[in-house]
Amino acid sequence: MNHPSLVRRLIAKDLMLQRWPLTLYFVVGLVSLYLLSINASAPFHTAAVLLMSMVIVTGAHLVFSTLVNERSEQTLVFVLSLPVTFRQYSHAKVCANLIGYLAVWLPLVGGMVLVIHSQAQIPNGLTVYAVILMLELLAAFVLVLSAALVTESLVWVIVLITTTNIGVSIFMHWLSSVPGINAHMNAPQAIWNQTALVIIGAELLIVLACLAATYVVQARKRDFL
Amino acid sequence: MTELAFSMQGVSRRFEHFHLRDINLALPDGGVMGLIGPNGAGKSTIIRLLMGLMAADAGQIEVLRQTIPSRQGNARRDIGYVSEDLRLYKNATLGWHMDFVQSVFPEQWDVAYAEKLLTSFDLVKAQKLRGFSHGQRVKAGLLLVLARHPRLLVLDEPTTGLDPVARKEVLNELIPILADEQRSILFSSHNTQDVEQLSDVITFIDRGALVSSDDKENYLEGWRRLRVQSDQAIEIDERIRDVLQIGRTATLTIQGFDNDLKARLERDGVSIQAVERMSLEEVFVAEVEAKRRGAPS
Repeated sequence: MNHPSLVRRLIAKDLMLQRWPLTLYFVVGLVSLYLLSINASAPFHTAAVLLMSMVIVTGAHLVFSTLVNERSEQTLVFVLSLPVTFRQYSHAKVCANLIGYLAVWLPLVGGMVLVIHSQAQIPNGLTVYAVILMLELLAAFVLVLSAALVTESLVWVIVLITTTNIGVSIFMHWLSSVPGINAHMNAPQAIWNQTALVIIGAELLIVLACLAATYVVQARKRDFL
Repeated sequence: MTELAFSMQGVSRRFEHFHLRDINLALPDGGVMGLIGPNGAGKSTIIRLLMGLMAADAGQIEVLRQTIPSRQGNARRDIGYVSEDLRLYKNATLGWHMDFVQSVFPEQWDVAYAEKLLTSFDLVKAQKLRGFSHGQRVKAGLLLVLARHPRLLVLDEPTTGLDPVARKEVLNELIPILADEQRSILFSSHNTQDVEQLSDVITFIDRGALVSSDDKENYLEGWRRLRVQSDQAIEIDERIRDVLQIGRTATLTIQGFDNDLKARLERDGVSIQAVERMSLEEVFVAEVEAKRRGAPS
């Protein structure tokens, strides 16, 4: 079996084992999108919290199940008995986690944008704020994923998940106070101004930096176990 | 020239509280080596180094003609690795695991043999691993490895924690493999009975260092326990490896007992009452104690 094929098998294995929890989070996310479309304050706020929660839970579940538990439950030994190098293993883990996460994140973000644009009671200007917020969740997930791979530590993963979750509230508060964002949140059209693009650029840069650092550190490791 | 299943030359690895030092080991193709040592002796470290799961600080390692760790992926294609701490995915069935391993090794996987192993190990394909006992888990791990006919089988304490019935089932499945001269086995255990049953070559390891490595028969033939009577204190030397003396009665542990030694003892006024064979476990303990005392080998 050639290397790409083995990596694909490892990715498929992780996605296969996580398919039911991911489906559940996705379905609850869809329910939250439905609630988002109801023209009332309480369901709207409930839906917003539920939507973000499902995205956060998806990331935490993936990292715990595919990385932390694989080590603590010693299934890692089984994987390492296969003809896989550490680099391939790390690559497979990054890909499986990103694919699993994006499989939930992308449709929910897409659905969220659709709901915002299709509902007259929700100003389209909110799209920018919402997309930046969802990108922050993506960046936080990649940070936790990288830390889980690099540190191989349950404690570090818990600390980072807790910190990034607390950080969401702080980030939301900060983002809504940025004049370039705040001024257009209730606008009838989404305004992708320079402020928004800089923040989005920074978020994507964090994602890329975390992934690059992960590959560099993993390539230098001497021990699997 | 005999091809080697694996070789380690001057291999060392230091950890905070443990130092594996200057390991020189080789196993010819088709050989069966038993690695015996107390818990924490370094057996698992040697195996992990061979598997490329950790890197050595010094020395060279080759497994199936592949340099480790740089070519570990290639080597592991033909290695079947089962360790006592190997676990399978508890929410998946054994059948799922079999399909997965078959997908990784489509050309090597032997469907008929896998089915035969299912029966002889009394395992249920549709059962989730969550419900498996420790013995069933070990047998499942062995099934997944044996069904792809690896050229080198690396078994790290596979019988540890098994009940006598499960242990016999596992050993029974390994015995036919021993007859295959193309397949080599490295078998680590602190249970000397299992190792004695399976191995041609025995390697003793203690506190991170190689104590000795030799053919099983050489150990069993080379060591004797002597029950003797002597008026004088008997001294330890390069062949009398241990002396337990109470009054006139003494028990000697001898390496390399022969007529010359017998004559020498009798000349020294030692009356030999009995000459007994020693088990592999007793030989191991004697070797380790001699090594720890710093006795000449």
